[in-house]
Amino acid sequence: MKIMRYRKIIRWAECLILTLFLLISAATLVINNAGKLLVGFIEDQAVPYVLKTGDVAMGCVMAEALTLLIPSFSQINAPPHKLEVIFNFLSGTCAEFQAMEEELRYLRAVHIKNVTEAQDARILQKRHLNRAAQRQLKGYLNLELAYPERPGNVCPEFANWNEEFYWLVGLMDGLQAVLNDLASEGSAQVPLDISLKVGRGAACLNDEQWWGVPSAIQSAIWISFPSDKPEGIEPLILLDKATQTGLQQGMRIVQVIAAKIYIGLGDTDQVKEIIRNNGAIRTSIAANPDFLFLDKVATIQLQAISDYLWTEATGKRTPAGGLGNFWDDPVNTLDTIDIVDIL
Amino acid sequence: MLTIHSLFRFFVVVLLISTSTVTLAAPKKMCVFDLLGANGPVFSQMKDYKAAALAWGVELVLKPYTSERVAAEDFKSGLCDAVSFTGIRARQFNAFTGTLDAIGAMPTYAHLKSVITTISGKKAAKLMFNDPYEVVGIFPAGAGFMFVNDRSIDTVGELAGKRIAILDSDPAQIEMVNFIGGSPVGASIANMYSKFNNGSVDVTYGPAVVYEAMELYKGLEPNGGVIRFSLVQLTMQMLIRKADFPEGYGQKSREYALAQFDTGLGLIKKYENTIPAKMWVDIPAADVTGYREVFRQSRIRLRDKGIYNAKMLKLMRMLRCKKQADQPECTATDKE
Repeated sequence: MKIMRYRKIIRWAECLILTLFLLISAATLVINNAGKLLVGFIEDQAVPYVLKTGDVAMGCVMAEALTLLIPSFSQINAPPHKLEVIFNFLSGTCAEFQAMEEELRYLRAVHIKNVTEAQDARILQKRHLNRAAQRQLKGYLNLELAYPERPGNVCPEFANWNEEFYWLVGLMDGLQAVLNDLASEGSAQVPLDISLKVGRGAACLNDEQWWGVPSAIQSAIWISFPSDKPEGIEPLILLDKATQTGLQQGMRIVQVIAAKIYIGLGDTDQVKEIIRNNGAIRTSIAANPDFLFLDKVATIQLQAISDYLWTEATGKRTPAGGLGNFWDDPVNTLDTIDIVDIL
Repeated sequence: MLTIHSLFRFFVVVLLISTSTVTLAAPKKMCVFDLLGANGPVFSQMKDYKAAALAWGVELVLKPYTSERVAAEDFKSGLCDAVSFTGIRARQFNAFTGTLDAIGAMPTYAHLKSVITTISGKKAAKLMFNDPYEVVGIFPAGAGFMFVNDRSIDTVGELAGKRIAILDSDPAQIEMVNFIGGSPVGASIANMYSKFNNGSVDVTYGPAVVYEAMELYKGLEPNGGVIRFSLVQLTMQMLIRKADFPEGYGQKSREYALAQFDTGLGLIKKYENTIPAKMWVDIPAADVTGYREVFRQSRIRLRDKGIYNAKMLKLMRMLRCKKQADQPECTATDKE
């Protein structure tokens, strides 16, 4: 009798253990797949969708809000490295915009000769640049995790369009991280060899397909680090060609890189020309609807550069509706009559 | 009498007004050398300097240069009222401060800080002026270290016959390499480090920042190293055309630059820490003396050739001996 009871208990226990095992396995399966599904959805659907929208400010807030959350997918076995590449790039760009505002405050303070205000603006500008560099470095490091080949060594075999897009954004992460770190006195400790790696990594992408951006990145690197430049290539000529490639496809993001290169070289006339050209082309070549977001980013970045030039010269930003015009443009003389003649 | 007195007062007022107009006159153009142009760290540092200069009555307009040769030419020709570039380039405008980067003269950053503090004081002001130019600030840019593709090269004697990259623009480097029996290979900043990485030269030199920035770990593999010995103390120097600036500007500016020394040094040390511990090659203590003596002899030769300034060499020697009086050079008959 006792033996029968024990056997019954053992059978129940076996059933309970089996049920629990099945439940846990099913839950794990669901969670794992849910993680992968979610990451896959954001990578393949949500990001391309956002790229078709045009509210950059909202994109900025979204990136800043979600960047903290994204890495948590790793806990359900769905490491979101590629998403981290793009979210850190976006949130880094948001910090760059804040730094730019402080740069304008600095310039305004210099204009009215307010030393304390100018110095305070510089301090805050460096803090924002430091934050931008930290975010972009995180984005670049995730690029290295996402692609075992790592930029600067050998080119990965991209499976699809998305793969190449994340590679491109990751390279931009690296380049901006270095520049922003240097501008904030190295406080984010970004490894400086990223620059040369980015230059070589850009060669993995087709220039025509990616709107001239890879060549523009290479130009930027080779101007400052000519040691990696192939014989016979003139970076500024390459940059000009890259700009034309982008503009022909309705992609103006390459103009931002060109404008930043010429700012670096102190060639203000060229920067003005790029901004004027951006306005002129806007009326003749429509933006690529699949990448409207990037086009808006380009406009905002060029406006920020225009604001920088205007503020340095006049103490104020680009006037409303004045993008493409400059304070020292020649004034058109109109035919007028001396009013005295009819008095 | 009254009329003459009134006239005199009128002229004094006119003079004062015109003087103050000059002081607050058109902004001064400052040419800034930075390999990364306006996106670089030196240019960023100069933005802070620009804010400080406002307080001294001068508005600076910064212009980036990616070539310091062009920056120097534009300064010389009057296109720039002020300039910022390396100490090596500054030598042609002021041999005294341009000798700060003399080979092996400053073994540590403490030495460098002592020298810059000494020469930034009011008493040294006249040494900072070499008509019409005035040195208005010196920033540390990092000690120059030797990068060798064979870490067994840890004595001066072993440098003989080695291909050593040198900057064409610095006659002191050519003289030095010839002196130690090396084979000098001319280079520019643009290709100096790629020559090391591709094996065209055995030895190159530079501040620690180039280790990562120029991927020197490639040239150091598999058996290279970084000699832990301060070959030179590189500096960035600012100069002005004195007559174009208000009286007292230079002194205030030098004091400002000196106050930034520790911040700059912090960044330099960060870059030195990027070189892995296994890459550093420590020279045996006995060989350090040998190195020092070879460099001392070479400084004396360069002084006699008019490349290094004798006063600066003497100042640095006095400082070295103050910090380490038992050094052989302190009792040598042929002191610097």
